[in-house]
Amino acid sequence: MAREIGMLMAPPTMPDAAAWSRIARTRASGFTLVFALLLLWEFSARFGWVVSQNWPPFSLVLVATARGLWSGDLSGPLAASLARMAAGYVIGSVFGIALGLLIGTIGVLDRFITPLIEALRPLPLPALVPPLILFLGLDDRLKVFVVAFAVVFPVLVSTLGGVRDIDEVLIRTARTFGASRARTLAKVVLPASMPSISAGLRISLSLALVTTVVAEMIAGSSGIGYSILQAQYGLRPEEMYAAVLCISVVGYGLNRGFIRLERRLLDWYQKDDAT
Amino acid sequence: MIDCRLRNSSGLRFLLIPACIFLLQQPAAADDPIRLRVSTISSIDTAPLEAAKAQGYFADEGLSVDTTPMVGGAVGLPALAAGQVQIANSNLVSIILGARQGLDFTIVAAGDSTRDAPPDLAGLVVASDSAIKTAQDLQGKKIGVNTRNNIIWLFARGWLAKEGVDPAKAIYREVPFPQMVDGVGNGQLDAAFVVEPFLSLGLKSGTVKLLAWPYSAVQKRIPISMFAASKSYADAHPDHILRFVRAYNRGVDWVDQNEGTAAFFALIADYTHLSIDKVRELVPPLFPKTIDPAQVGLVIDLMRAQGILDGPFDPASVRYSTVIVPP
Repeated sequence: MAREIGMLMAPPTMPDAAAWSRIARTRASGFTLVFALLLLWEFSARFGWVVSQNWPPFSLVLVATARGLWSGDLSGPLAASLARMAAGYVIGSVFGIALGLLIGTIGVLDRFITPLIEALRPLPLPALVPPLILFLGLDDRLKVFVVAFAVVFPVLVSTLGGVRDIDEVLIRTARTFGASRARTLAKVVLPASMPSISAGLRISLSLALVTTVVAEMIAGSSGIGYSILQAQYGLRPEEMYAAVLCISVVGYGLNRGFIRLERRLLDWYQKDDAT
Repeated sequence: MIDCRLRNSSGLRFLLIPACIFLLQQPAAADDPIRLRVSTISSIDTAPLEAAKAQGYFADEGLSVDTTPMVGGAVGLPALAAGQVQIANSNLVSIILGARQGLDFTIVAAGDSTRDAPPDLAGLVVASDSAIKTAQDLQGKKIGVNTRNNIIWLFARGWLAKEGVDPAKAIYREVPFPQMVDGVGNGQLDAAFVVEPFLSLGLKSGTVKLLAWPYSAVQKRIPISMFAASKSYADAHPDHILRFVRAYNRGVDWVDQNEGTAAFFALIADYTHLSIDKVRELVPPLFPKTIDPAQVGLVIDLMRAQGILDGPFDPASVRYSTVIVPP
């Protein structure tokens, strides 16, 4: 539809404009902007537009990234962070989905738990880390918990939204066919909520990555968040940006991967949505 | 019935197998090194600890010291209070504030102190083209400190007071050390109390110039950072503390003997991740083995004058026997 409007609006005598319009709709245009900004970064450092010890040219950051990945100075902490993130993400997601399904289907729970969730949801994680050290220590347990805590709420809220939006007819039909409550939950409620759950899972994915890095920066002695601070305090800004670059690329990759997976698993919904 | 027995036996197996593995993995207790977890910071202040580790002095004492380096966060003392680490490196002001709040901190090893004369480990800088020349010019101006209510903040205020300026007339902004020089350079801060190595680097780059050495202007030989344990742990395991401090003090001797040598620079560069060239520019602090209660008293007086401590506080109460008579 958008394409049709674009074609209608473009003057027929200007094929160039149509070509530009086509390019603008591809992912290449997004990469062009990224490339332009990185070029600006490089020039701003090379030509002294920004004068700071903490502003190395992007080319040096790329070299530091390659070196760090090859030597393991960057790939090791990155792998450690991703492992923590994955553990926290899985735990938080499972809890979020399970709680969302339960609260959404059991009215009493909704009234009982929702105020607690609403009170916990806005808590800033960096403020939670120091008191949590008391109970969880300084190691992986703390970071995994913090990530799971960050993940659980968006997943829970989107699951709850999905459950509440289910067409009542679907549930009644299942009941009419004699399906038990558990079977209805597994065979009707869960699949029908999946598009909404999936949206929550996708939001939480980048949140999990950010939270892992923040937790490692506050109370870390390993991982990519710790590497960023270590490079900062070790006066190695190119290594610090190398770590930031890795996080950015990993975040982008995770998001793209999730979208692909979502398209494959929920194609019934996408097709349905398209029509 | 059979089903039930099978279920029971598999349950038992699940319990027994890990238990056996656990028991088999336990070496003879007599040979076990004592594990100590120490929260530390990756700066030159902890050179003797790293030297003791690298030279095997802790191993000689039958200790296995697991250091948890913290770069930016102030979580060493919370971790100590929670019993997650047995010993934590922190600054004197934070330790006193913790002790005042009822946390049973005791200083077991002396850490480092400033010298008698500048250059100090930290200096107050302003932009190289700044019109600020004296403490009086800082009234109403923004001063960068890394954290409020810590030693940097305290001595920035103490210096202003000594120069006859009301410290409350300046605005204190919390900025991490690595960003301070940039903050002053781009005008977001009017001054900053910067520690090494950021101080020398900023001065060398020409972005900032030195205004004062607040540490030595206010007090000589200030105990800056030190190693604290909880009194309950120290009372329950006096032998662990004794072994730790003995090995740490050998680290102090090593640093004193090797300061300025290639081995010393290599050690610092290794754990701080600074380049050797930058390590060479650092002026190491003093590494005393005892804590002078008179010096602690002066810091306490300053804390009182700046309104972060009230009521009686005995400077000797935070000293453990190992910093009175070094083992």
